[in-house]
Amino acid sequence: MLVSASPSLERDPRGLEVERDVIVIGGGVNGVGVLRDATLRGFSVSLFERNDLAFGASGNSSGMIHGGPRYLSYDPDVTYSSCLDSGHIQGVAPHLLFRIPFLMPVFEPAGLKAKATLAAYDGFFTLYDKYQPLKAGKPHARLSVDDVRTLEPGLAPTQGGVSFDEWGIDGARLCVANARDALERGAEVRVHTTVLEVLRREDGSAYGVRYRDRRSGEVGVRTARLIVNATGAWAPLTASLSGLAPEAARLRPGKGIHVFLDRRVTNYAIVAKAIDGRQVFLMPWQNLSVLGTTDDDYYGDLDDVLATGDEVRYLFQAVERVFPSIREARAIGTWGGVRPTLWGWGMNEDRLSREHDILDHGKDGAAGLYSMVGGKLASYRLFSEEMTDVIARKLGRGSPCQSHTLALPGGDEAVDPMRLVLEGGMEAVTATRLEYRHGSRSLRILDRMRRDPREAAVVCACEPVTVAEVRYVIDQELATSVEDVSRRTRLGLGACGGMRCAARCGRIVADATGKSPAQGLAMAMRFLRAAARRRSAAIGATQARAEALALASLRAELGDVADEPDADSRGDEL
Amino acid sequence: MNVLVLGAGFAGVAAAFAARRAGASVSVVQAGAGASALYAGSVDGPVLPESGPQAALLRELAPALGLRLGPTSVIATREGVVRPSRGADAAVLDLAPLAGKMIGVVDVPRDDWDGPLLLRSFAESAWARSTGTRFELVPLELLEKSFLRRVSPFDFASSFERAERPAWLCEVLKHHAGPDAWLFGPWLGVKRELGRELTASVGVPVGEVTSPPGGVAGARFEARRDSLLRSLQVDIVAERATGVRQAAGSIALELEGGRALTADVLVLATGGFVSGAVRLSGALSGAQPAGFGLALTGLPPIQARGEPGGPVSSLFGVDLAARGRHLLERVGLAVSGQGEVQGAARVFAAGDLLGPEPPSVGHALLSGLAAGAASAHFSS
Repeated sequence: MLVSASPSLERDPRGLEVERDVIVIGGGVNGVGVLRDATLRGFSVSLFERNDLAFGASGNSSGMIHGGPRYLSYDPDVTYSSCLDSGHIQGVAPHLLFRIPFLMPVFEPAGLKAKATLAAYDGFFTLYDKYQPLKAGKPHARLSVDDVRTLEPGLAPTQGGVSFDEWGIDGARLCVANARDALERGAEVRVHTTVLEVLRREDGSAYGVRYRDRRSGEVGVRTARLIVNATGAWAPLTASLSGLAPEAARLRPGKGIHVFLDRRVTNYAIVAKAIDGRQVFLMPWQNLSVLGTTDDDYYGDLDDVLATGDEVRYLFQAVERVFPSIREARAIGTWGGVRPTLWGWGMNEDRLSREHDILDHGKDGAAGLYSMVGGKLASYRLFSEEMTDVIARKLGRGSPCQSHTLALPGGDEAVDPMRLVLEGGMEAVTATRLEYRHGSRSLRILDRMRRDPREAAVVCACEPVTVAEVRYVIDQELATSVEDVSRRTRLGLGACGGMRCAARCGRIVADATGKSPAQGLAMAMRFLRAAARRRSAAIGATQARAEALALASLRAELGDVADEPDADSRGDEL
Repeated sequence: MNVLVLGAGFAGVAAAFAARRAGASVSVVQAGAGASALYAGSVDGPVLPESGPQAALLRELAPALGLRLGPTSVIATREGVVRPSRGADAAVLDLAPLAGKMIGVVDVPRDDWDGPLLLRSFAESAWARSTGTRFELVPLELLEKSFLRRVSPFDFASSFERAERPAWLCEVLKHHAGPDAWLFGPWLGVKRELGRELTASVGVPVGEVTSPPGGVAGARFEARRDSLLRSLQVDIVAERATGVRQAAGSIALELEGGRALTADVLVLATGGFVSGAVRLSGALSGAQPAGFGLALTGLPPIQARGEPGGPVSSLFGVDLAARGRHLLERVGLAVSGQGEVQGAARVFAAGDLLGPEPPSVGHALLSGLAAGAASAHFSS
C-alpha cells in the first residue's frame, strides 16, 4: 500500500508550491540513470552537473559492462547483479556495447604448479560461466600452450591459459544517451552548473538547491520534493552543502588511471599481475590499446585528477612482463578517475566493496535528501532503479520501472554503416564510428550531411569525427566547449592529440554557441593544454623531442591566442 | 678554412651560406627532417637588420629560400588568425598592402578548409576591423575529381602544377572579377611558384594562408635549400652524427657509419633538437662556461636558470604559470654573440633554441648567419 506524500513536501518555506518532484545532483552515470528512470515513471526532474556529463569516474573508467569476475570469490552478489544488468544494458543500448574477449595466461614455469594454476582458472571460470547467460556472454575456453601462442603471438611464453567474455562500453556515450532521453521526455538538465547549497526548512528537511551557472554566472534556486546526491566521489562534499557533516556520505575514494597507446597490439584483453599482486590489463580499444588500472586511496582535487609517472610505470612494468614489446607503442594519453568506493577501514583498496548503497539523510535530520554511494558502471541501471523505487515510495506514485525495457536514444533500431557510406559520402571507418556512438541517431547526423554536404568533412582524422557530428553534439547533447565535444565524440584523443583538429573544432563550437572566433581558438588552446598535461606523465624522451617540434608550428598558427584570458573562466571558486 | 655544419634547417643553411660567402669550404651533415621542414611558412622573431653585413647576406639568402621579408607584413594563418610577421614564404599573401580593401577568400569544399568559418575568423580579426578590410567568400570549382576533396594539402598543391592548370586557374580568377586580392588555402604549388605566376597573370595579388605542419611551406623550403646548397658547392653528407671528438688543431664529427669527418670548426645547427642533442653538465650559471657533449640518443635533464624543467613534453606539458612561458626555448648552450660555444674550442652553435627569445625562423636565420661568419674567421 502506498503511503501518501506528507503535505510539507509540497511547499517551500515561503509557502510556494515546489517546482519539481526530484532534483538530481551529479551528471555521472548514476545521476543520469536516476534522471531517466524517474522521468520515465512520470516524475518531473531537474539535474545539475557542475562540470560536464560523465566528467568524473563515469567517463574515465575502464569502460566495461562486465560481470565482475574479480568479485566472484568474495562478493558474488556484485557479480550476479552486474551480469544481470549487463544484459539489460545490452537490450536498451545495443549499439554502445562491444564484445571484449579476455585472455588470462598462465606464466608459471612448466610443471605441477602451472598445471594447478590452469586448473584453478578453469574451475573459477566454470563457476563464472553460470552467470554468463545473463549477459549473452560466451562460456570460457581452456587454452593450450599452442592455442595461446596462435591467438596472441606477442605474449611472453605461457603454460596455456583461459579465455572469457566481457562487454565494453563508452561510458561518456552511455551518460549522454540517458540524459538525452530524459531531455526529450521533459526533464531539465543543467551542465556546468554547480550547486552552492542544498536548501533546508526549519525542521531540517531539504526542499531545493541554490545553484550557479559557472559559465554565465547566473545564480538561482530550484525547489523540489526530494533531492538525490549522485555525485560519486564528490558525495561527501555535496552532503556538506546541506549543512551535514561530510561523513554523512562517507566514502573511501580510490583513484584509477589508464594509459592509451597509439596502436592496437592485441585482439584479446590480456590479464597481467602487477608488482603488488593486483590484476591489471592490456585491452584493445578500437584502433588503440589501453593499459589499466590502478586503485589507490585518493585525497587530491576531484576536479583535476591526473595520472602520475609512478602510476604509469606501475602499469607498464606489469604489462611488460607478459607482453614484452609493449614499450614500442607510443603513449598518447592518460585518463584518471576516482571510484566512489564504499567506506571501509583496515583493508587495502582492492578489497573494498563494489556494492552500492542508498543513504536516507532523514536519519541525519535532513529528510528528503538521499545520497547514492558506491556502485560501478556495470550496475548503474540497477542502482538507479533502486533509487527511483525509493523516490516512488516516498512520493506515493509513479509507474513501474521501464529503464531496462525502453531503448535509449539510438538503441531502437540497427543501422548498417554501409548506408551511411553510400548516402553520406563518408569513409567506412567514419561511418562505423558514427554508428557506434549514435546508433540509429546517426541517421539524424546523416540528414545534416544531406542538407549540407560540407558537413561531411572530417574534422578529426584520427578518430574520425565529421563537422556534422560536432554540430550535432552541440545542438542536441549539451556540448559547449572543445572538451565537451571531445568527451562525446573522442575528437582529439587519437594519435595527434588534437594538434590538427582542436582549433577547427573551437571555431565550430564558437560559431554554434554565439561566441567569437577568438574565443573558439582560446577554447582549443585550453583543450590542447589539458591534453598535453594528461599526456606528459606517459611520454618518453623521443616523443618529448617530437612534441617540442610541434610547438613552434602551433604558435605560428594560433598566434597570441594562447595568451588570451580563458574565455570561460570567471574566477569560479566553487 | 674547413667548416662543418651539423643540421640543414634554417640555421644550418644560413651558417653554410655565410661561411661560404666568407670564403670557407663547407660541408653540411644532415639526416631526417626537423622543425624547418614542418614550418608553417611564416618568418617571425627579432627585427631583421636592414643595413650592415647581415642585411646584405639576408637580401641574397631569403629569396634563394623562397622567403619574402618585410618588417610590416601581415599574414593569415590556416587556423583563422590574422597577425603581423617579419616575412613569410613568398606564396603566403601579404595582407598589409591590402588594408581597407576587399580580399576574396577562395572556398573549396575540401575537408581541410572550412571556408565560411575561416572567413568569419578573418573578418572579425582585430586587424580587419581596425583597417576596415573586408573579406568575401568566393566558391570556386577547383576540384577536378571528388577524391581531391580528401588528398593531403601537399598533393593538392602539386595537382595545380600540371601544365594547363595554372593558365586555367588564371582564367577562373579573371572570370570572378571584384576582389582586390585572392586568398587561397596552402595549395599554390610546391616546385612552381604559382602565387607569383598568378599575381602576374591575374593582375591582383594572389597568395595563400600559412601551411599545416608537414604541408607545402616546409616542402618548398627543403627543395630550395637543396638547390641553394648545390649552387654554393657545399658538400652534403646525408648521415646521422653520433659524436664529436676534439683533436689538436681540428675537430672530428663521428658518423653513424663509423666514418669521421674532420674540419677546422664545427657549427651545431640541430635546431629544434638542440636541447636533446647537446648534453650540458652542470647548471648554467652566469658567465661560467658549461661543459658539454653530444648526446644524440637520450634526452638530458633540461634546466633553465638552474631550475629543472620536469617532464619535458611541450610548451603545454609544464605548468606555465609557475614556470614562466617559453621554458623549453630558454634552454640552451652558453654561447657568445657570435655563436661560439663557451668551454668548447672550435665549436659554434646556431639555432632558434639559443637565447631567451621564443623559437622562430628569423632567430634561426640570424644566429646561423652569425655563427657561419664567425666560424669562417675562426683562429686559435
